[in-house]
Amino acid sequence: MISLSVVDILGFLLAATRWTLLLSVIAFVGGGIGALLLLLLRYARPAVGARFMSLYVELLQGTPLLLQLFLVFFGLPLLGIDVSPLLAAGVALTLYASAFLAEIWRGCVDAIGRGQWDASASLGMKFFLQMRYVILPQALRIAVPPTVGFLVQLVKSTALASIVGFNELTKAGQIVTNATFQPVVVYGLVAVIYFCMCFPLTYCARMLERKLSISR
Amino acid sequence: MNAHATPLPIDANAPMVEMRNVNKWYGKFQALKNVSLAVAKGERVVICGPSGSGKSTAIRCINWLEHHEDGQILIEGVELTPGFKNIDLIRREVGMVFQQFNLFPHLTVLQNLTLAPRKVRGIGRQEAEETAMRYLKRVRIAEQAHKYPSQLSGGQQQRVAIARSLCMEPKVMLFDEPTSALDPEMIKEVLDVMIELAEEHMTMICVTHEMGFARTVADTVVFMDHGEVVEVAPPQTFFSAPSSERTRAFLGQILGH
Repeated sequence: MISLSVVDILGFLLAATRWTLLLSVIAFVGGGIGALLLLLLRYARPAVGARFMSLYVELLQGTPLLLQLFLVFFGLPLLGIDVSPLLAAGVALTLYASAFLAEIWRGCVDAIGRGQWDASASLGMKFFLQMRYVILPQALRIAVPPTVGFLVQLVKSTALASIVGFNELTKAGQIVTNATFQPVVVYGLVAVIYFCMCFPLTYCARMLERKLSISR
Repeated sequence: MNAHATPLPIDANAPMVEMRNVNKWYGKFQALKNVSLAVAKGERVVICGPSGSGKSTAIRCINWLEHHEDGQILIEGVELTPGFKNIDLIRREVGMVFQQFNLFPHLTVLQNLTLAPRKVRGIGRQEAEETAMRYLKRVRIAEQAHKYPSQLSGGQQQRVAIARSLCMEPKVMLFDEPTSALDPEMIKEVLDVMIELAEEHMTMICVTHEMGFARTVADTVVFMDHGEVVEVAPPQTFFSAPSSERTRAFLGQILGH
């Protein structure tokens, strides 16, 4: 057993927090791009893409993230692809985020009335022009609050990456606990750090929600 | 990007719009029954009829917002067929004004007018804005150019919607009950704009209950009921001596108060 001061513990945990943030950013950016592609598939004609999209979303929403993480971490090496814990966690969380974001954004696009499609079509606009200039800009406004809300979920979900040995915040907490035998102090601090990352986001989401509802 | 697409194989001698025995079903419900209608260049046609008579469906088929299942629809001799690749080329020539205006709420009035000319026709920003201002002046709303649609009254929004369609310089304008969602005091300002357009011999197909408009500016009045074209006549004949009993009953209902 090593004796560490609270400041030492905090320093160690904060160093690992960088990896939690990095993983969150990777998952959010990757998931966002994936979701946008799924969304275009969903609304493009012919509608075969829509079937694929809903199957993909169903599969990823209907299985635990932990299992997705295992499948990527243990599955990719079977295909001869060597995966580091960061890569495995990044891929799994990206797939997971893309499915959820695609579903959230689909709801937002559906909220845009049929008339907007009709009007832009009647002006000779093709699908990508309609999406780019008419539908998505409007959907984006409604999408901000639920998207930020999901981002909070995502930050917390990165904790699962500790199970495949990725040295992020939760994993660092386990290591420090094993060294110090002070689980309450250590995990308490870990919780505070997560809260400090998530609270600004939820606060931000609430502000945006209020602001966007006023401007409507 | 689409500005250099191949031109349509237009037949200049063909009617502007022609429907030949068009049928359409929604499931088992037949919305259009053997609808035939020819609209010449410069002709102003008013379509009237009770709600659910298929008149909106008919004009929505003309720019392929609804698809007919049987029969032919031709725009200047170019047939709209399922799998028709260049529907956007047709739509550029066919303007449409909707009951609910359908302005783009996230764009200013000016941006509403310049979006399609710039992105679809590939016109430069300055030229598009000059054209837009010209049409905004024509619908007497130029001073609102930098406002958002939600800041305008219904009548103003509908006039903007008309200007937006005109900015694409269409060959034919479709109006789908353009005054039905308006408060009574705003109907006139929209009708005035439409009358001006009609006086300039814009080809117009207008679904409306405004019989005064039909009487003064239409060349032809069409009466539809239960998905069928019941009567096609010039307004004098249509209002004074309709040939069909169903037309008489309809006119009695809407004019008899």
